[in-house]
Amino acid sequence: MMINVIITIAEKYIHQLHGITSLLKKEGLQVSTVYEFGVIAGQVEQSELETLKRHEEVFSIAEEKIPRAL
Amino acid sequence: MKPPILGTHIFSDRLTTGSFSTFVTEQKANESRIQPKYTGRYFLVSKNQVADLNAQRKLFESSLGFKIATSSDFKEMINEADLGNADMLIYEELGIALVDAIDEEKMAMVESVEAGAILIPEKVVYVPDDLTYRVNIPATWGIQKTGVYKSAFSGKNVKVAILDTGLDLHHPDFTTRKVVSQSFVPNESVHDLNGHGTHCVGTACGDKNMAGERYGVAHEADIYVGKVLANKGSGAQSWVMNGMLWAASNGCKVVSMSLGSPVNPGETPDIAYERTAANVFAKGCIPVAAAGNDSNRSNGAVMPIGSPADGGFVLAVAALASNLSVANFSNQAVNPKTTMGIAAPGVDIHSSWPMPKRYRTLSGTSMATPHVAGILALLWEQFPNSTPAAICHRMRNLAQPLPLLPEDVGAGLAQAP
Repeated sequence: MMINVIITIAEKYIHQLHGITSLLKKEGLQVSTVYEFGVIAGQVEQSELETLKRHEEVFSIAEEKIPRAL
Repeated sequence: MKPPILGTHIFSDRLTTGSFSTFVTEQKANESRIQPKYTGRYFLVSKNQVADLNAQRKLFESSLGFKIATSSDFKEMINEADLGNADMLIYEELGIALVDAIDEEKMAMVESVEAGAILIPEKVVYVPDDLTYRVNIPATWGIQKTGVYKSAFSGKNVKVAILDTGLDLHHPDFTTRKVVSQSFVPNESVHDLNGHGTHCVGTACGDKNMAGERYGVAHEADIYVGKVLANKGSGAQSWVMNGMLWAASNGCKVVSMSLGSPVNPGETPDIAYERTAANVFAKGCIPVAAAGNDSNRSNGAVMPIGSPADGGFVLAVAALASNLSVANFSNQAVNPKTTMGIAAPGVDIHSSWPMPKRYRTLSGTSMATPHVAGILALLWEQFPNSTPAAICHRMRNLAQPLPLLPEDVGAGLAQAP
C-alpha cells in the first residue's frame, strides 16, 4: 500500500539533497516536492519504509500529517 | 376589545449589569411573567369556507352577546384603537376572527357556534434577539478587548496570508479589497465552500459588518488567501508547507494558520514543519498557528499544543473567553520544547461567512489565531523595517498579562499597538 511520507534529511547532508533524492527514487520513493531546506514529500510502498530509513542521510521519515480546520 | 397582554423584551446588554448566572436565574424565574407567549386573546379559525364566520355573525351576537366588528368596517387599514368595545373582529377575507379574552365556558360556546372551527391563542411577537444584540455595538468583543478598535494602525501596505479553506470570493465585505489567492488543493478552486477560511480571513483582515460593527483587525491589509485545506475541512501537510513558502515568497509579513493536527503527550515537534517555519521566518514572515481544541478542561483533560503550532518559529495561539478565562477547549504547552506564544479572543467570535449567510459566530483557537495575525500586521505597519524576531518581541511586551499559567496563555492577551 502506498503511503504519503515526509522525509527530512540530516542537516550535515543537506548540500547533497538532490543526490540523496535520486537515491531514494531508485529505492521506490515517488517524489512530489523537494524543499531546499532538506525536506522531501512523496509516496512510497509501506513495505519499503525500512529500506529508506537505513540511509544515514535520512534524519526522519514520517507519514504525512492530515491537518484540519480547528 | 381588551388590549393584548404583552411582554417586555429583555435586551442582551442587561448582561453587563450582573453576572451571567444571575441573569439566567432571573430570566427563567420571570420568563412566563415578563415574556408570555400568548396575549390572552384567541383566533377563531374556520375550517370551512371563508364566508362561514360572517354567516354566523348573528348567532355570535344573540347567543353570546358579542359585539362584532368586521374588516369591512375599516376603510384603509385595521387599527385596534378603532375597535371600541367590540368582542370579536372578523377578518372576512381570511375566515378568521380575533376573539377577546373570554372564560372557558364562553370559549366552548364559541366553538359550538361554528362547528369545525378551532380556537388558537394569539401569540405575542417580540423583536428577535440577534437584531437587538447587534444594535449600537461599535465592535465585537474580540476587537474591543484587544484594543484594536482604538488603534491608529490598519495594516495598510502589509501583506497578510491566511492559509485555510479559501475565501468566498463574492463576499460583499471583500469585493473592494486587494485579494491575491492561490489554491494548493488539487482540483479545488480558492472559492470557499466550507466557510472556515472566510471566517478567519474576516477576523484577520475584515472591517465592519452591515450594522457598522467592526469585526476585523487589519482592515486595510493586503489579503493573501492560500487554500491548503479542502472544502471538507482537511488537507495534507505538504499543502500547508507549500502555502507557507508561497506566502513568504510573495512578501507576506504574517502567515495565519487556523489549522493543525493533534499531537500526543511527549511527542516532539514535527521537523519538516520546523524547517519550513524557520525558512519563512528567515524571509521576514511570521508564522502564527492555532494551539488546537483538543482539551476539555471542565473534565480535567488538557492536551498538548498541536502541530504545526508546537514547532519553533511558530507563534502558538491560545483561545480566551470574553471573561478572559482560558477557553475550555484550548490546548496547553505540556510537551517538551513547546511554548505557548500568546492568547486572543476565541469564544463566540462574530465574523464573515460565505453568502448568503454572510456572518456567523464560532469558537475555537482558529478564531483566536487571526486576531493575532491581524495585530502582527498592525505592528508591521508601525515598524515596517523591523524583523520577525523584533515584531514578536514587541507583541509579547504589549500583551496584557493575565493571572493564568504561561503554558495556557503565553505572554497574555494580545494587544494592538
